[in-house]
This record gives sequence, structure tokens and C-alpha cells, in this order.
Amino acid sequence: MKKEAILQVNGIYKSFGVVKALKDVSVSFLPGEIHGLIGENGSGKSTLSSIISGIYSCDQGEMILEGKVYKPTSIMDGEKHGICMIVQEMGTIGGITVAANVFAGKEELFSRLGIVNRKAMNRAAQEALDKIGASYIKAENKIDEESFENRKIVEIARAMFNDVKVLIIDETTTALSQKGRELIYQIMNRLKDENKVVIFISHDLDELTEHCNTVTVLRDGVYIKTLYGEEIQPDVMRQLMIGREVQDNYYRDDYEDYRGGEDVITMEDVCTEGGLKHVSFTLKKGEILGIGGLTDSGMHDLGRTVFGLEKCEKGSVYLSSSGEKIQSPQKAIRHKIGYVSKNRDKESILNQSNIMDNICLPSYDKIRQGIYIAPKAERNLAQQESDVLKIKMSSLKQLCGQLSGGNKQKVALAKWLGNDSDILILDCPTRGIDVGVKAAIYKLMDDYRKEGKSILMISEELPELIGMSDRILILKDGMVTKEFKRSRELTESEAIKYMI
Amino acid sequence: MKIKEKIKIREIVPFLSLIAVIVFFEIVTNGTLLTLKNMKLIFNQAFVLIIGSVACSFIVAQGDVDFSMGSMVGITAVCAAWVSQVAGGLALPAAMILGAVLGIINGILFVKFKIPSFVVTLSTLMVLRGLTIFIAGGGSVSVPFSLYKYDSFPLKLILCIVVILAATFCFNYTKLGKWSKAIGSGITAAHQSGVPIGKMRLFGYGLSAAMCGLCGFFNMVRAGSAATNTGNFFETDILIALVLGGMPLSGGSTSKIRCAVIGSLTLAILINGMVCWNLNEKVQQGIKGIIFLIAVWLTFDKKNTSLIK
Repeated sequence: MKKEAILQVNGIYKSFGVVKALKDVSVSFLPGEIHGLIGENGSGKSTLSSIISGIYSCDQGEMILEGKVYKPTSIMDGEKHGICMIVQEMGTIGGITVAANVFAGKEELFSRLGIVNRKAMNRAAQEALDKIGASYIKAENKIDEESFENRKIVEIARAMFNDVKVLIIDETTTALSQKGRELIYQIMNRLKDENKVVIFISHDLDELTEHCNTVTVLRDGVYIKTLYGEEIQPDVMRQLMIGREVQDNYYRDDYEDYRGGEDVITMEDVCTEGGLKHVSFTLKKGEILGIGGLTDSGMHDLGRTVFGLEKCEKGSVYLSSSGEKIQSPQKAIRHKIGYVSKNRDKESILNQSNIMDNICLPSYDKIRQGIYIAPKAERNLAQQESDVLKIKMSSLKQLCGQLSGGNKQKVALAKWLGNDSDILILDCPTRGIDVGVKAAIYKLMDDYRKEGKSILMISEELPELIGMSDRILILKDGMVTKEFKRSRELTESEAIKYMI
Repeated sequence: MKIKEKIKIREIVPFLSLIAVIVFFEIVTNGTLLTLKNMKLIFNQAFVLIIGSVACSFIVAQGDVDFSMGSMVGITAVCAAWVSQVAGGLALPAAMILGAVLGIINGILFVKFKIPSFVVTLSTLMVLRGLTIFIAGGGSVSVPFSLYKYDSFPLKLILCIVVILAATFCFNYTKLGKWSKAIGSGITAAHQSGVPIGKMRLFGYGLSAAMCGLCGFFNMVRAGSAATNTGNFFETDILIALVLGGMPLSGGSTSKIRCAVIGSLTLAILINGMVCWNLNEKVQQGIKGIIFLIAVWLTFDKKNTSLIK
């Protein structure tokens, strides 16, 4: 009972300058497939999906869509053929309403004599949103008032309004909270039932295992293997992606080894403009404290507040030992606190500067002699930390902007390790990072804990929170709703209960 | 490999244009350009440009500009002239302290009141020019003869070298320079790495204006008086010099003191060369403008960053 492929990709080649992004890649996408596309950063999965959706054209090879040669000239042309893509970054147009976004480029559906009937457009947009289960988004609202998450959902509504044959979802879910993800999963399943194709790109292997019925692995631009049904298992995928055996213990595997000591940081009854409401907790020496919740639960704000980036309207954050308040990043850093933002490219890394400058930036007070900062001292510090973290680079003078996401994150961590931080605040430390680097970061966190240092880990990924934290605080609407202790029995669904 | 080559070319362009300007004017002026007497003239021109552009390199590295420099030179020169009539020895400190205070006011308007820096400095450019005219009583203020001795070539040469060396040291090997460049590279990331943004901005504007005071003083002793138009267009000359030297006006890690020095020399030779060549003054202004455009086009990497933030 072999089904006819909806989309067949044959012998695709694509180069960017001297870099060969894809080499002779062929994949069939059959009706009713939720087809995972996986590979490490730079393996070519985004390039492949961009070619399918019409963003790039391929150098060689052909694509067959329902028996006809398909050669999209642009993303609009792709959409006309029923191939839609939801991208990682922002894909909506600011300054106009939700409805106008849903129907951008299709206004003629609602216009007569060149005048757009806004009411009809709003009504139709609301229907489109209702249809995908997002009735809580109001079509007449300005798009800018909506959260990042809701804007993603508006994009999906837009895609679904077209007669979709192939829907490509490119690492969208990492940016979404549980609610948004559920919505995407529902849509994926509906398309599957309608015998359409979903191409799903994600770094989250558990998510892939749960939702995909087919998974294709790419490595260094080469097709490796396609897995079906039962074959789809995290271990198998990991091995195929990296091309070698990977250790099984991805997270830390102990459950009794709690090393929490005295309190180091106390947050007491804090309210912020960003949405924290009477939050109190303490971080202890030698523990990993996980903070979980939906994106807008205030958990990111919590990390920023501890680091002194946000003002407390009420209450305070202070060092437990001395009672000294933390009100600015400079003060936090002086007390050996480090912070890695969720927004890597804008907030934790200077992309235009080299690796050495990035690593040394918070540590100038440590390495200077008088006012003189010796280049040798800088080089030593940067070399030492990049060795510890095994940063893949051509030299210390390489610009950070040229590094892959995982290596940028390593630089961000190296900064704080180089500064001998005792407390790390990590906001989504493994977001958009491939498995190899992920495992390295988890290992590092575990070692750090064993050295008697503390980590405040804010994460949208429940498996990571459950796998790594000694304690987990769940935030909802700016308030702490639950504290979990580390245990084998703790499940995701148990934690979700307190998030929604 | 390709990227590296591109960077190199961009780094060489300022050197090449300096050489090109020298060769061109040496030929068209039949050798007048490089006579000893004329070289001294060029140096006098370059001296204030170098001091000014080196001093404002810190604020430019942060990605900000100081448009108020011309009026800073003007007002400090006039005030120094008044002071010199009472106590000659206090003229220089008075000029520099006044400059620093005014520069810090620039900084406070920018940092505390959150007014964009180019708006602040454009406003102070106009306000201070008006104030200068008022203080100078509409004419010029003369300087006692005893101060003329400061207009000496060796003194200025030594001062110039000291300023360049000190600035280069601070720019490359101290927190002041490294933090300034970090702010220009990415202000949010710099902030989150513990760089005190507000203080660095105050420092940048304070330094820029204090050194304008130094320029004001030497302008005054050279001319023998300070007038309402002293320092006119200094700020645009500085901008042209920086760009000619290859300094990115958006700041960041590629900023270098070298750019300021080379650019100032190029501009000084260009201005002097045009005079030696007997070009009409109106034409000179036009040529400066065109060269500014070409320099931005040649030295600026249009793809990656914006010229002014």
C-alpha cells in the first residue's frame, strides 16, 4: 500500500559561496506524514525547508509536487502552490491589525472598488482564528499588542487559510509556551488526518518522538536516514545526528545527591512592572533552582530582577549573608553573579566583537594591573575558558557573529566562568542549541553545582527543568504557584497543572 | 578568507588616500606642499584636528556623535581670552574645566533626560554659539602678548604626541577604551556585562569637550584673540577627518585612534593643498563635502551596521 508522495525532493544541491549546505539530498513526503527534519546546527535542515518554501532556489536537483515539477520563484509563489512556512523569527507585519496580517496580500477578497471592507475582513479573520482553536486572539486588535506567541499563532492562521498541502514549521515551538505548542500540535494532527504533509523542524527530540510519524536526519548537508514509526527514538536520532554513540545520561542522573547549603540570594515579596506579584524565594549554595512557567508568567522577568536589570516596585532582592540589595548589573557582578539572557544575540553576546573581547568583558577588574589591561592576560583568560568549554573557533580573534548558536552560548557562559561567578542566572540556556552542545552545558551545570556554586535556571522546557533542577518553582501570572523537590516521580503533566 | 581580504582593503584605504592627497597636491602646487614652511602650516592645522578627533574617539566608539565641538572651541576660547586678561596662567585650565563642565552637561541631558545625543549636541552647538557671541560682545577678545609664546611648534608637537600616545593607551589597554568599544558593539549586552553605560557617556562627552577647551586655547594664542566665529565648522571637520581615517561612526570594536590621526592629517593636507592651489573658498567647501561622501562610501561597511545609531 505505497502511497503517492505529495512532495518529492530529488538530488538537491545548494551552496552558499564555498560552503556546501546541501549535497544530493532526496526525500519523499507522503500524505498524512508529520515529517520531522533533524540535524545539528548547520546540517542543512533550514536550507532544505527554505528551498521547499521558495525562499532560496536550489543549484541542482528538482522537486515534484503532486506529480508536477515544482519550481517556486518566491515564498509567495510557494504559498500559491499550497506550501506554507512558519519561521523561527518574527513573520508578522507591525502597525496593522491581526486581521490585516491574516489577509496580507489578499485584501482584494474583501474589497469593492478598492475599498477594503474591514468588518468582513475582521469577521473572516476571527473565523480563521476560531477554526484553529485560537478564539482568544481578537482579529480587530493591533498586532503589536499581541505577545510573541500570539503573533506566531496569527501566522499559523494565515497559513491555514490558504489551501495548505505542505506546512513547514521551523523551530517555532521552542519560542512558544505549552499552550501555544498544544495548539500547534493540534493543527499538525489535523493536517495529518486530512492527508496533508507537515514538515516539522525541532531540536527537541522528545517533542519529535511524541508527534512525528516520520523523521529524516541530515548531517553536514547530507541525507543520512529516514526513520518510521517505532524507529523514532531519541537515542537513535541523537546517534544518527552526531554520527557516533552518545552517552545516555543526557541530564544528571542522581536523585539523592542534594548539596544545597546556606542561602545565597533572597528575593522577598517582590512586585515589578514586568508582572511579578509578591514573589519570594531563596537560592541556596550548591543547588540548581529551576524556574518554570508559561512565557508570560513572569519567569524571564524574575531572572532579570535578580540580576538588577529590573526595578522592584515593592520588596527587594538581596544577598542573604549581608542583606546588601542588588539594584544594578554592576552590583550583581561585583557579588559574583552572572546572567545569560534568553535573547543571546542582542543581550549576551557582542556579535561585532571577537571572542576574546566577549569573554573578557566582565573580567577587566580581575585581570587589570593598575589601570593597564595586558593583552597577554586577556589572551590567557580567554584561552583558558574557551578550552574549558571547548568552543569551536578558528582563533580567539574570530568575530562572535560568525559562530553557531551553540558556540555563541558557550562564549556567553565562558564570560561568567572566567569572572569566577558563584551564582549563575541562566535564562533558557539551551534554546535553539543542538544536542552535542546541550549535553556539554548540562554537564557543566552539574559540575558547577558540585563545586558548591548556585544556578538559577529559567526554562520553558519541562524535561530540562525536571532533569536538572534540585528544586523547581512554578510561576503563573507572576506568582509562585508550586514548589517541587527533585524526584524521579515528578512528571511533566504534574508540573503543567500548576502552570495553566 | 574573503571576509579577511575585505577588512584589509578597508583598513588600507585611509593610508592610500593620505598618500594620494600628498602626491596629488605636491604635483599640482609644484612642490610647495612639502616645503618646511608649509609643513609647519599643515601641522598647525592638523594639531587641533588631531586633538579634537582623538578626544572624541571615545564617544564615537560608543556609537554617539558630538556635534557641539565647534561651539565648545568657540566658547572656551572666548572665556579663556577674558580670563587671560586677568591672569594669563589660568587661561588654559579655565578653558579645559569649562569645556569639561559643558561636556558633562551634554552627557547629563543625554543620559538623565534621555534626549538622543545628536539632538542634544546640535542644540548645544547652537545655544553655545549664541552665548559665545553674547560673551564676546559681538566682536573679538584680544589676548595679552605674554601668551603668544605658547604658540610654539615644539610645544605643540610634544603635546600632540603625548595626547596620541595617552589616548592610544587608554583606548586599547584600559577599561575606558574597552568599555567604550563594547557599548558601540552592543549596548544591551555591554550593560548586562557590567559596563556602566551612563558613566561612560558622561566621560565621553566630558573628555571631548575638555579637549575642545585645549583646542580653544591654542586657537586663541595662535590668532592672538578669540572671536565669535572661533571654531566654526570644527565639528564637521572632525567628522570628515574621522571618516577619512576609516573610523566607523557607529562605533564598536573596529574603532581605532589611528583612524583619527590619519584622517586629521589627510584633511589638514587637503585643506592646505587647496589653499596652495589657489582654489576659491566656496569651491573648497564643496570639495570637502564631496570628499566626505566618497569617504563614507569607501570606508563604511554598509551591509552590517548603520552609520549613525
